[in-house]
Amino acid sequence: MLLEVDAISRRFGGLTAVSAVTFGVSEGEVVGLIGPNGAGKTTLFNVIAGALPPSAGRIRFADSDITAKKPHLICRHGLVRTFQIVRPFGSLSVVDNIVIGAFTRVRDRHTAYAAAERALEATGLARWRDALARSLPIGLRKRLEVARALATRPRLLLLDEVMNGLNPTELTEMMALIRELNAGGITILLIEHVMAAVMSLCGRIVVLHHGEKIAEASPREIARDPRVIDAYLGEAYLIE
Amino acid sequence: MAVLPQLIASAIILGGIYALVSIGLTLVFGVMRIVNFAHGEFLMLAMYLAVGLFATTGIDPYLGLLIAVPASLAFGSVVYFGVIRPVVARPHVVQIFTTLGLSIVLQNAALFLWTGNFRQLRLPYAEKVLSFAGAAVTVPQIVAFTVAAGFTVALFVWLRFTYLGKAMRATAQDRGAATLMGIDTGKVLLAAFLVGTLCVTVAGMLMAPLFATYPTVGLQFVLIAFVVVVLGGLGSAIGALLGGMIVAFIDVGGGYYVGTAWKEALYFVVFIAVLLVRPAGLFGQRGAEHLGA
Amino acid sequence: MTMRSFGWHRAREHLAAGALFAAALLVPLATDNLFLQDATIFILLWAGLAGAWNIAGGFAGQLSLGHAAFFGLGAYTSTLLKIHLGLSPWLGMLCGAGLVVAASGFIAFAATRLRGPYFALVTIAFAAVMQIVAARWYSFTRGNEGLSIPFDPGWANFMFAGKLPWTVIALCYVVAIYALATWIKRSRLGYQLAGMREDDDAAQALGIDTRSLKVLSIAISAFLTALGGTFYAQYVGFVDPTYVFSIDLSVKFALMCIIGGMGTALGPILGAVLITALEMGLRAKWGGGRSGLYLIVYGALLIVVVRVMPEGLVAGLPQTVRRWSARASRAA
Repeated sequence: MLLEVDAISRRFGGLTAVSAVTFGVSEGEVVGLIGPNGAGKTTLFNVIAGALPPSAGRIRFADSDITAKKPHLICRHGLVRTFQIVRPFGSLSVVDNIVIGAFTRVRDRHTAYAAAERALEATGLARWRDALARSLPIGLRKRLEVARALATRPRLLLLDEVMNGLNPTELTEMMALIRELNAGGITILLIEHVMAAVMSLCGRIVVLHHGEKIAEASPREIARDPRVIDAYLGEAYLIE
Repeated sequence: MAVLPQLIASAIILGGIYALVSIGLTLVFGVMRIVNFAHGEFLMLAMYLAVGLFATTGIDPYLGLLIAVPASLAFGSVVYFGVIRPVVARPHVVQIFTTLGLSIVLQNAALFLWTGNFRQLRLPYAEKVLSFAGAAVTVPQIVAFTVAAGFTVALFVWLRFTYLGKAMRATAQDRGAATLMGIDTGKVLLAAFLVGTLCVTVAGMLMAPLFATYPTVGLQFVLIAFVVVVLGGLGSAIGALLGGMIVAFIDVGGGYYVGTAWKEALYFVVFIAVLLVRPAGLFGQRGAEHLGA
Repeated sequence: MTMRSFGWHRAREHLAAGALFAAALLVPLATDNLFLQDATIFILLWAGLAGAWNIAGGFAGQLSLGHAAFFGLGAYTSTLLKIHLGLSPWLGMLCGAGLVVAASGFIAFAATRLRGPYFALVTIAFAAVMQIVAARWYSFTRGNEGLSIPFDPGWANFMFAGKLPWTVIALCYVVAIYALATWIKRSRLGYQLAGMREDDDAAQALGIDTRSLKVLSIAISAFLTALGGTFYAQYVGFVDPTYVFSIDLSVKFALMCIIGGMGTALGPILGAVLITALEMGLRAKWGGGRSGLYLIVYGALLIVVVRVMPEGLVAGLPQTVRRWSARASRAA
């Protein structure tokens, strides 16, 4: 088990955003985290990634306890997250954005730029390597976000609604990218609303509702689960 | 402790004044997210207005408010459209240096026009002292406190109950959401700035009979205003009121027990302590200092 | 702005810097004009101090308006050690710089908890407290009267009769800081600072320990500023709290970087040259009795430049030129 989320809760004053959520992610998997808006998915990501401390519970990553550790340390452990609202380093070029990520693993420029070139190739951004990050449209920004995270050599990638706002072509490309990354050995945990993507990419899906885990199963089973249909999916996704 | 009632009276009066001086600063920051480093200079200009008005026409600062109010709105508009609005959406470094530059320009314009000599507005009836529960207060002090307190309360009521006031509070909390709710945030920002300028102008007119007027007097009071505002919470009118009282008590008490020499250091220490321990102040929005925007 | 500037961009920057350095060195050698020699030394000093500020303000994005605290502390430490203990100012300089690094820990702590204008306010308060303490602690610092350093020329005393040694030392100061800034920009540290400057949280998510970086960059910046403080004290022979801890000084360091260009190594130097020349020119024309006038121009300049060209001249000018020539070629 690469990532173990153990009874994680997070309260904000009177509001319980995440309530005793437990699940695990094994190495090599692609796991989806779904649920209606306000279900606590991003809060859970924030807790896992160290941006927020949990109110209760523990998180283990690759056999070490990373609960409430600082985000940069968690990244160095190999658990890297992207942001739901992308945060590129706007006034820097695309390649420099990625180099900054690469420098987390290497010390000298030459190696860092080489790693960045590889990430550019892997994410199909090579054409825009010298463009200013803030000049990119949303689809490319999402890819930059992934490329940057990639340069830190993650073992597990937390993708937060990375398909948001993409047109059908971009969606297909992003899905292909995620499959490639997974094939290359990176474990993936993703939050998504685009059901087609979730159903086709994920081996396993965890469903949150009002901060609680209400289901965890294969995509097929999830699509048939009455609680999930009731809370989130609706009848349209019944796979027969 | 015969001196205690006097200290308390002085502190209360001062507190009202500090509150009025600080409300403008806190409004501008709360609504516009801009720290107006030139705030003290607005105060200074108002004091010079009072002094000049009295010297040339014999009109006292209280009557002079009738002139000061429209003058401050006009001046505030000019500054807003010329200097402030262009930088509302720009990064911090631009905003900080813009208002800092304005502060330098105004200070030195005053120095150039009116020299560095200290001026004191002496009202003919200022000498009369009224005894009140063991404390001696002068007429200018009483008027200053009454007007300041009244103004502050009026402002608070206005913010709470009028549409523009509510719009301001909404914009302070979340500008994007406010726009989506149909609030003309451009107008709100202008209104915030003008109200802020108005408050500090009134404060200046009230203070002219009580304090010496000179080009850098703004520095002294803007420091106090910052302490008040940080203590009370940037963006909170109630915070400015309470913060003003607290700082006034520290001022008067500190001046009495520690001496004026170290009093300033005391402000700064309180200031730094609040910023580091609880930057949101008593009533401010928690976390504002991290978002900064 | 790309971090990996192409070969000839960098060469151009180094060439310009080299030309300025050479010019500075020539002044005491080629001319007898004391005013010019004095001005050159001051320009070099400010250039170094601006470069020092730039490491915290420009590279790390920590906009301090209280760097005069470090400057003054360095100046006072070496001076007090010399006066009371007879310690060589060279050693005193290192002591001052060391003390300042410790003091900078406080500012760094504030930097990790506060952003933007809040941080600027703390730095202002910090310098102001120092100013008050220095002014009131008469028994130790002689308060507002200031401290004089007896004129006793000699290398061990860090005091010279002619202008040439001063110029050389100031030049070494600037060149060292320029070299450091250039190195940082191209190093891992520089890239991580850039990320932190752009977006602190995103940088953390990428594995950058922003807290440590802030402490480091502020410490380096403070250290270098304190060195300049000692140089100033030795050169001018007099320190008083009203000047060495003043907010005017703090603003000046920042202003020079903003005008010249905050993210570059050359920017602070360019800014120092321009600001000092402007100051001297304005003061010569309008100084004297009604002294406020040149500062009015100063303040107005600040307002305009920061709005029109916030990235400074080094980056902004080539951009503006490119934009104009693009517009011109489109119109043609």
